[in-house]
This record gives sequence, C-alpha cells and structure tokens, in this order.
Amino acid sequence: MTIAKKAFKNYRIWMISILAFLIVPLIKPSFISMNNIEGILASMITYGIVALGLAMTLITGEINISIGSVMAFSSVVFAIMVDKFPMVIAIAAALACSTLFGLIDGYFVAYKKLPAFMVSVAVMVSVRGLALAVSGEQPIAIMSDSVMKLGMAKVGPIPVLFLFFLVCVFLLEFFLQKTQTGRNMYAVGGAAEVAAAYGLNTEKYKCLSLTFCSFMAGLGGILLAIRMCSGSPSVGEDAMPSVLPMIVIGGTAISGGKGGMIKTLSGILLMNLIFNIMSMFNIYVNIQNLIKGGILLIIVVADKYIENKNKKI
Amino acid sequence: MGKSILEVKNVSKLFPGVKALDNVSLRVQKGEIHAFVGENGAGKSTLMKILNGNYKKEEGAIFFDGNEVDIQSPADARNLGISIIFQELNLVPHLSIAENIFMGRLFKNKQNLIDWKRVYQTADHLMEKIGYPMNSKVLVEKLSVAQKQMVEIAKALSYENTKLILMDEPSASLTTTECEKMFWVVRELKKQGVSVIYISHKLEEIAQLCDWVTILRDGKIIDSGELSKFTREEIIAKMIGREITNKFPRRDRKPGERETLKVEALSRKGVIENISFSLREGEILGLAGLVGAGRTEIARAICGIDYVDQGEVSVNGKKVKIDNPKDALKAGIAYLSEDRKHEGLVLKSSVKWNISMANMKNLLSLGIVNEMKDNKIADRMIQAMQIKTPSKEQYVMNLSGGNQQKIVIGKWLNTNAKVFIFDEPTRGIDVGAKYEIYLLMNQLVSEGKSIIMISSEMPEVLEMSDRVLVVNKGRITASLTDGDKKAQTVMEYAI
Amino acid sequence: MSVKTTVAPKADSLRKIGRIVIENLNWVILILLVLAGLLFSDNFFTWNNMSNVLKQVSINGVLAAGFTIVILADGFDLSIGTIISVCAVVAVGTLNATKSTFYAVMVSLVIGLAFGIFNGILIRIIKGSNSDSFLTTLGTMLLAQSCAYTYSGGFNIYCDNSITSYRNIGKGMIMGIPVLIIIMFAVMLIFEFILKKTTLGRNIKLSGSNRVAVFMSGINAHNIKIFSFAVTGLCAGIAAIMLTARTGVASPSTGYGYEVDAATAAIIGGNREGGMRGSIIKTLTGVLILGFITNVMNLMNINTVIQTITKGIILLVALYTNRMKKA
Repeated sequence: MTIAKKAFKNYRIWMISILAFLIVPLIKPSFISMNNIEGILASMITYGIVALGLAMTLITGEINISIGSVMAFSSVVFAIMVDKFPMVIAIAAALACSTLFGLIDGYFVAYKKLPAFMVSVAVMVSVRGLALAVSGEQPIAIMSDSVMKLGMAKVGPIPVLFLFFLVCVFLLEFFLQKTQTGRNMYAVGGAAEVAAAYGLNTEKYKCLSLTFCSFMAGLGGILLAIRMCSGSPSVGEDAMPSVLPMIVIGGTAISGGKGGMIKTLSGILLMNLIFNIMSMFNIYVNIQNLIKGGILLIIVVADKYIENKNKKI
Repeated sequence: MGKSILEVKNVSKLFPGVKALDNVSLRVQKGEIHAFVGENGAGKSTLMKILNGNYKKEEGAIFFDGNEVDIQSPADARNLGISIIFQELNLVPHLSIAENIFMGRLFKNKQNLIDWKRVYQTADHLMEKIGYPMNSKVLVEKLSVAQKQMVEIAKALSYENTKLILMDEPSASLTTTECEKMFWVVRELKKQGVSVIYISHKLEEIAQLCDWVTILRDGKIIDSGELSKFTREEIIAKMIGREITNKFPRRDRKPGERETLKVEALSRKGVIENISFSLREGEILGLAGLVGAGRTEIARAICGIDYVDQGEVSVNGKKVKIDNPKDALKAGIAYLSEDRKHEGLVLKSSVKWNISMANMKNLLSLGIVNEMKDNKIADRMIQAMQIKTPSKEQYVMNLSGGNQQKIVIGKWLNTNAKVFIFDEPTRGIDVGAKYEIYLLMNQLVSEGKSIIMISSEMPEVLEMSDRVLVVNKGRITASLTDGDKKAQTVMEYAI
Repeated sequence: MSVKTTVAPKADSLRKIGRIVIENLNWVILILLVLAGLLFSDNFFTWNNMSNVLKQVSINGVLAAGFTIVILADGFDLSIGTIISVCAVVAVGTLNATKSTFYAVMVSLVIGLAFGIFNGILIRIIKGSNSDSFLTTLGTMLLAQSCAYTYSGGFNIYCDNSITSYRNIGKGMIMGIPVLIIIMFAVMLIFEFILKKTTLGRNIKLSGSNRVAVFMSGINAHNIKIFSFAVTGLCAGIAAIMLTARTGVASPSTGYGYEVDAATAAIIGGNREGGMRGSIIKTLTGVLILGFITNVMNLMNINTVIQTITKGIILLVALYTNRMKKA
C-alpha cells in the first residue's frame, strides 16, 4: 500500500477535521477565532471523558447506556457536597457512587450474563430517578470559589480541564498499549472464546470495563458541574447518541476488539466540530438531533451491513 | 521407556450411545512424527482432545515423559508441554501475530509494562525459526490460512517446554507449496526433539513426512507401526475394512427414470465450482468426500441458504429460482442441516411445534391455528417415526440426538417436499436409531421421492446410495455406481 | 455402584414449589399485591379505584402489548417514546386544522406505523440480531424526536376542545366503561389472538428463539421482524391518541419515558425473547403489577421520583428472575 493510502486509512478522521479547519473559516471566519476554538475545546471535555469510558467498554464487546444518568447523578452529588466539604471529598463521593453503579452493570452483565442493554436500561432509569430525588428535581448551584476558578482556569487559550482530559486520553492509551490488562481487553472483545481458551478470565475484564465506563461517566458529570458551576439531574439525556458516534467514527467498533483512546479522540474532535459548525450556522436543535440520529444510523447500518453481507439471515 | 514421550494405555471414552474410544493403547517416541489415520468418527479427534485436556477419559492411563499424568484442562496440557493446533484456528483476528502468540503472557519490563520490543523480536525470531519469517506486527486477520497455521505452530513453540505438538488436519486448506513449507517446519521440530502427532487423510503427505503410523477404526487401534512397512492399499484397507454386517436395510426397488432434480454449473467463488448433477425419482444419491470438501456448501447453494455466483436448478424439468429456503420448499426441496441443534430445531420449543414448523398451513381451520390438528399431526408423526418423548409438549432440547433427528425429519415429512437433502443424518446417533432412519430413507424413495445424502461415514454412503458423487475441494471428482462404488475408489477421489 | 437416589422428600417438594413460584412469578406477585391492597385500604377493590387504575395503565398497556411482540421476536425498541411524541403533535395539529377526529386518528396511526416499518426495514438491511435493534432504534428515536420538535416548533399544541368526539376518546365512556380501558383490552385481545391463534404468532415466538432455524424451515424470518416493529409503531400511534385525548395537549416530549414502562411491564409479566410461553395475558399481569405498585406508592405519598427508582430496580430483578425460568 502506498504511503498516502496508508496514511489516509489510519488518520482519515484527523484529516477530515483538519479539512474542516481549512474550509469552514472561508465561509465563517469566526470559526477559527480564539473564542470559538476555546468553545470547541471546552465542549470536548465532558462528553469526551465519558466517551473514553464507553470506548473501553466497547473494546471488550459490551455496551452501557446508563452513562447519561450516571453523569447526572454524579454532578448532583458533587454539587451538593462541594459547598460543604473539601473538593477532594466531593469528587471521591461522586466517583464512588458512579463506580458502584458500574459494578451493578458489570456484575449482572458479565457474571450473570443478562443482556447488557436491558440491564443498563434498568440502571439508567433507577439512577436518573436517584439523581432527581437527591437534587429535589432541580439544579444545584455551586457557590464554591475554587470550583469556579477551576472551571475557568486556562493555560493560554486552553482550559485546564481540557488538559486534564488530554492527560486522561494519553494515560488510558498508555494503559491499553503497555499493560497486560489493557491488551487483555482487546483479546476479550475480539474473540472471547479464544481468550477464554487461553486462560483469560473474560468475566473479570468485562466487569472491569463496565465499571470503568460508569466511573468515567461520573468523572464527566463532575467536570460538567465544575464548568457549569451547578449540578443538574437532567444532564446527559442525549449522552448516548452523542457519545456513541464519537467513538465509532473514531474507529472503535461496536463489535469489540478494536479501537483505542487516541482514535476515540479523533472522533470526539470531529463530532464536536460538527456540532460547533451546526450551531455556527444556526442550525436548530431539532435539526441537530436529526443529523445526530442520521449519523448514528448510517454508522451502525454501514458497519453491520458489511459484517453480515455474506449471510442471508 | 526412556525414549517415549507419550504412552497411552487402555484408554476409553464414552459419549451417550457411542463408544468413541475403545481400549486404546499406543506409544509416541521423542522426536517422532507420528501419523493418526482413520475415517471420520474413528476416534482420532477424540483422542487428541483427551490428550489436550478438552475431554476426560473414562478408563485407562496416560504417561508423559515417563510419568503418569492426569490432564484435566488445556492449561494442564500446556504445562506438561503438550500443544494443540486445531482445524478451527484459535486466533484473535484484530491482534498482531506477536500478540496472538503471547496472549496473556506478554513480556514485561522492570516496571511491569509491556516490553514490546522484546515481544516483537521474540515473535519474529520464532517465525524465522520455523522458516516463515514474517513481520510479527502484522494483524492476523490479514494472513492467509497457511500463514495463520504457522502462527499457531509458533504459538505452540513459544512455550519453552513444548515436547509434543498435536496437529489436526494441518494441510486441509493449504496449497502444495504451502504444504511443502509446513513439512519443512515439522521436520525442523523433529530435529529439535519435539514430537508431532499428525492427523491427516492425505496418505501421500503422511508417506513423505511421518515416521510412524497408527490406524484407528471405530474407536479402536487397528494397527500401529513404522510407516515404511505399510503400503498405501494396506493402510486404506485397515482404515475402512470391516465386515459389512446387515446394519443397513435392504432396498429392492431401483430408481426410476424420471429426473426430479437437476443442478447445472453451480458455483460460488472460493467454495464450490461448476457443480452439475442430476437426481432421479426413487434414487438415493450419496455425496462423499472429506470434511470441508464443500458438500454442505453445495446443498446450501441449491436451497438458497447461501449466495451463489452462478448456476441453475431445475425441478421435474422446470427451471426454478431459489433465493431462500422458502423458495426451495416451494420447489419441493428440503434441506436437513448437519447442525440440527442450531439450524434444524428450535431447541427451546416443543416437539409439537418443531414438527409443524415447516408447514403451518396444515394447522389452519378457517385461517386460525387449530390445536386439535396440531396435536393430531404431532401424534401421528411421533407414532410413525417412533420418536421417544414423554410428551409432545416436551422441549426438544431434552431429547436424545436420535430423537431430535427424527423430529427434524418429521418436520420435513410434514411438507410437500419431494427431494430431501440429508446432511450427516446419523451423526451422533446410536445404532438403533440409525437403523430406523435408514428404514425411513428407504421408505421415502420407495414412494418415489429422491434423496441426496451427504455423509462422512463410508459404509453408510456406500450401502445406502444408489450412486455416489465424490466431492473434493469444491468440485465433483467422480460419479460412482455399482462396481465402482467401493471405499477404496471413493478415498482415491476424495483425497 | 449405588447412586444416591433418595433425596429428602421435604427438600424435593420444596424445590418443586420453588420452581412453580418462579415460573409463575408474575401471578404470585399480582396476587400478593391485590391482597396487600385489600388489607391496607378500604376502597382498593371498589369499582372507582379499579377503573382509575385501569385507566392509568391503559396507555402503558397498549404499548406493553406491542413491546411484547417485539421482545418475543428477540428485538428491542427504544424509539417508542419519541414516536408517540411525533404522532401526538401531528395528530393534534391535524385535529385542529381539519376539525376531524377521524383524520387525526388516521394520521397518528399512519405515522406510528411508518416509523415502525422504518425500524423493521433497518433491521432487515443489516440482518441484525437483538443488540443491533437496540442501536438502530436509538437512531430512530432521535429522528422521531427531531420530527416532533420541528413540527411543533418546540411548543405545546392544545386540542381544539370543541371537537368533543376526540376528547371523548380520553375521557368518555361506552356502556359505563372508560373508552381508554376498552381500547387497551381491544388491542390486547387482538394481539393475544395473533400470538395464540395465528401462524404469524407462532412464527414470532419461534424466530425469537432461533431465527436461523426458522429461516431454514422456509419461513420468512425477516418479515416477522418487520411486522413486530411495525406493530410497536402502530401501538405508539394508538397511545398518542389516547394520551392527547385524555390530557388535551400534545408536546414534543409527550411520549417521554414511555418506552421504559412498556418494556418493564412486558418483562415483569414474564415474557422473554423467543419464549414459547410468552403471552399478552402475562403482559397484562405485568401492566397491572406496575400499575398497582404505582397506585400503592401514590396512596403512600411516595415521591414520583422514588417511584422511578423502584421501577428501575424492579426491572432489574425481573430480568434476573426471567433468566432463571425454563423459557
């Protein structure tokens, strides 16, 4: 394969993003304004963190749709606690709850072999309810100064939280590439029976990835609360359809065994660019939903159609 | 006993209704390339699986490198130094060669992080060692079957203490050149003192490669000795030689003249090529050949289960377009899959429902399902085929293989099918039920229906068929009748 | 070699009873709930309370009936909720514009059916299995949502109350029985008939259990899937009419959350993919159980939010116990 072809294959999502940066400013110069770029980076933070968690789950061949609810609950817990306790405690509490929800998913799906999406629907409903209950069904404002400062902190034009997000990307990529556990995730997702035949405990890894997904969703909720200076029980309603395309476009397949964090980053970037462009051109929310739904369907249908092309049933 | 790496003593293995291994004893020396030959079902795979810890033996003892061992799992086998290379390759497609070789046990550096340099280097080195230098970073999904097999061998060798490698039909999907290379690798293994048990049907290959041969038949060891001391004919004879007892019911009627099914130039790229044959009323046409030769694929192509590149099917002289099993049934063709559990039956459903499944129009009165009709049809079929079940409401998954097969047959008998394609109809079924199924087949053809029988059991194919087509690597290589219809001849064309 | 055949008879019959309980868990719970209701409340079993409960659950009942068919065919439909929304806004819009109940009803049914068929065709194209329908209906959910939003401009649409025939659907009675309840039972009856008495119904259950075997037996397994999704779409259309007729208003969030209740009811009732024993009667028990629990929680003044949490936990438990059944 020629170098150009290979480069295109491996980096095409990045290239499309770069293309966007070259073309769109010709029509709307404000696209590359400092303000807008900051906005793009900021928007990548919260759903981006969540996407990393879900990507891990997809790599092991499972799925978790409760991410939106866990985000909401986590943001609420954080918001409630951060004004009364040190930030570290608030973060720990929110993360602990999120991990617990993930363990419930992981236990029933990986060990009890219940269908993943049904279990996560049940968890999704319960956790959303919990979020509403604990918050009294309304957003909780955060008064803490340190939170506000953290939310607005920047290094040049780049939000500090975005840097944190980047660090997560690289740490997780490192984990996936350089540790045995990370490699085992791929094996379990790629061909579970083969992995099991080689003595890998597939249940353990699937449970781990599901738990991690909720953990990251919780982290996303905390970051959202920090940036918004409020925790809200109604966030994350559109988490799943927003995050999933990011991951799949980036190159992590729903079927499992493929993908990575840096790849997911490319998908996060592109999707956020698309959202940004859509609001730049004043495309209404409902049309945005149309486009999101359309992208999701196209991705899923294309992926599965190719997979099942030779079968008749 | 110093020089033998493996000694099997009086090992037996029972499956429900079938004695897969009967008091088997053999010995494999260090650095020996030892061939296992025998027909399908002779017990070769079963023995391998016992050695690899996939199955547990009922009787007997196994000695490895002088010590008695108890192999409970593949992990045990590997710890002893036994590795197996199955026909269905055990690789994760999206991962690299190196990762597949070292799955779960990648090299780590002092910080417990993966030392990729060492992983790739060692993998490269292994592949070189077996004469297949490859970039071990390449993803397995990009490899050819031959290359994948090499990766499996490298995997087996990557365990430092490997002393015995079990190879199950390694050359089945290889071209001649790829085979040559593989032989070279096996010989290198021998030089290093590793023993190889080599299961294969290809007698010329075995003649080239192996030192010793053990012949199995019906779960027993027929003979075992230096390969050079046997002639090819002797080996084949011992593989299949048996007294043809009256295990098969007589059939007096001869096939009619009318052609019920005609297949022309049926092809599917890479799978089957230019398949043409015809079938007459009252005839049983046998399809013989090695596992994987393409017989099932032919049946699936005819019945519209798989996509077909070209070809035509005619029923009773009229061309028919068959795009799916529904079309096939409309044309009067019924396919009884070899995988009855997943393709022939709905296991979590009752006997009654499974029987009526292919023809529910029979159940209707004024457009509504009539339970009484359903019951009557089920009762009739259970009686006629002597299906042993506590009740017709019993879930099919609780019944024995033989009864399950009868239900599948009953399902198709309940339709207007005139051409029946039986794919391995008696696999995994006890002798008594087998006979009943043969009787059924005779009954069908005496009524003027036609049968295509795919079978890997030589006596079955020879005795039950009026005519035998031999399939080899997707092509029909021979059509045998009467005098030619002999085991020897079939083997010649199948291999 | 003697095999231990004697099991303590007491333990054996205990196990048998346990088995029977698990297999009929839905009935057991329903009976327990009714008993609890009778014990703790004077007017539990009054006509008034009963018809209230039934009215409350009627919409979910219709949806759950449709969802049962999808579950039995081994699928999942996340889009029911938003399909209700889009049917609702278009129905009320049409009602107000044409002043005709007939057109409003027709429009709702047609749109619901269209989305359902769309879902079915998507699955047909990808020859998908269970988890695939989850993702495709997720996409459809967004499409329907955006359609609902676009049509209504984001606002509520209020029924023209002068068209009493429409509101009667939601508030009226026929021979003393609320129309909503009649609709629910009518839908359930028809679906139960299909499941029990037609070849289609049987094929649905068979293909939910093993669609490859069904395909190989000459049945059009693809059409079964399309049918099952079309049915849920239709049910969404019916539910939209029922909802808007009862409340008098339609909005782009009318159907929010209804898919979860529908799925929960069908699963609590004991239906699982391909279950031979799946039936709408079971779904009815699930709908009633859910309804009674909600009713009881309301009477106990428990927050709706806590109720949601409880429902989620119940769904999880139901999923688990369903697995323990024999199928």
